[in-house]
Amino acid sequence: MGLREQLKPRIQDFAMRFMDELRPATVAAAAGSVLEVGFGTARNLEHYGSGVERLTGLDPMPTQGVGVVDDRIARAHFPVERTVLRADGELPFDAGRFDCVVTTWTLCSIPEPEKALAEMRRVLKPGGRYLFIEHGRSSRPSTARWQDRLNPIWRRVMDGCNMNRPIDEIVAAAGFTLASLDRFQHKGPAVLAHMYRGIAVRE
Amino acid sequence: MAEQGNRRLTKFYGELSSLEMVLGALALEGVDTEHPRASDLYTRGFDCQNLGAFPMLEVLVSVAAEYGAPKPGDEILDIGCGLGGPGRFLTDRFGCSIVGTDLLEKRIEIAKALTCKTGLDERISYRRADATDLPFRASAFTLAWMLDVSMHIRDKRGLFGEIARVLKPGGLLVMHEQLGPLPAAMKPVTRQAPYIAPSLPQLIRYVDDSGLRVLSWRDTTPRVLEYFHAIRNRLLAAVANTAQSEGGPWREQGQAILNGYIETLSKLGGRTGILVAQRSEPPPRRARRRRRAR
Repeated sequence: MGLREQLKPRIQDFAMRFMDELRPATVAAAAGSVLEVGFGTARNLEHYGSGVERLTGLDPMPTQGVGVVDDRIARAHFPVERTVLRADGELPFDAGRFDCVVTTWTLCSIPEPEKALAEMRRVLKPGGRYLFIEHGRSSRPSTARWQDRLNPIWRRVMDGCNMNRPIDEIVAAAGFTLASLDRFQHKGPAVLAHMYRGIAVRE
Repeated sequence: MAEQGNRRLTKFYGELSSLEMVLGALALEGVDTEHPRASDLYTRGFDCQNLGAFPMLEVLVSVAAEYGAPKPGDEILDIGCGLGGPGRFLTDRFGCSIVGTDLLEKRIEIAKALTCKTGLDERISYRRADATDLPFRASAFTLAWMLDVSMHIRDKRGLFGEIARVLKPGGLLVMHEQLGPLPAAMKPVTRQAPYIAPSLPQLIRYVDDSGLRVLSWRDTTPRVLEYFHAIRNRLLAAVANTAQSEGGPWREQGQAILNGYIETLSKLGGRTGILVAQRSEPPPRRARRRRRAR
């Protein structure tokens, strides 16, 4: 493993701790067989409830051998499987395999989120739920304009993260039904702090 | 176009609304029809024409409470107030004042009569008004409450623009709505009145673009479906108890409408839900002027 591969999970782990207070509200609703797309450094694991039977964590970033991540997985009260894979390719799972799919601040960084959502929908059981918290396009037109201006630079610097995606639109366009959606401004710079939290159902 | 839509709405809801029907239903329940309490009416849903009737009002209030419950001094705008049941519920529960508007003079008159009978007329007043042209000054209300109205209005920008204008900065819009695209099963309903139901992302954009910010959406489809099943069961029981000749065409049409809703909602098309939005600060008028200057 090169230095870059060594450092990336650690930097990401440090950066993502600022979101920890928002994790439980999304993650605690998961149950059964769970697929987490954008598993990152396993920061969500401790927030899952007792209803979770097993979890598959998908992320293009390898974390095997990264101490904090291995520890978090060892502490989980259900079996956790890591898969190093991009989400917008074809997922190596049968249709209708999972009860829940979870993403937390993931859709921003997937090059083709529409494709990824279609795959996530495919692997969900009918009636299965997609739980998400994502940052995206602001509901304030002035902030949204700034997001559009800054995004080209931001995306290049921040490893493919997009700040201006309308999360509700792309989730609905993928054929999910939004059972609940909350939009709010979290702390931090306005262009990055517009949150979309929701539960979408695969009918 | 709008005129024709308004005419169809007037006919549809005009036929649905009658003071005698409400009072007759109350009398059957053994309630004093001269001095009923507001809760005698709304808990039975006799004066609630919103999808889901009284149980839905409780859900609406609990969702809205996440952003702060109405206070006794608050003035609330009830757009499309119908027979006034939901508005009387709010006054009864929170002690706030209500201004109800409706397109139909007939419904305003019934709402007024019922409010007088319940003794809430000091705190509730009514105005006949088109929701896309509200006769109120800017920033007049802390809360606008609009149940199952916007799907009948083609001019969404006009509607939400007016709501944004009459709400105070930080004020809330709480609405219940049915989403499109509506399937063919809704035909018995959509034939009766104009239905212009956007998808959820479309609805969110309409609201956001008018100086409001959507805060939340809660799907209510299972509850509305339950409500329609309950009505159908009551109707079927009533049919079994009376002679075939009574009721006539209105009963047939009513049944077709009920079946249309039930089929639509069970197939999970045309979903319903609660949307909460907030009037943004700073005022949208200033933002608009700045954009024009640029």
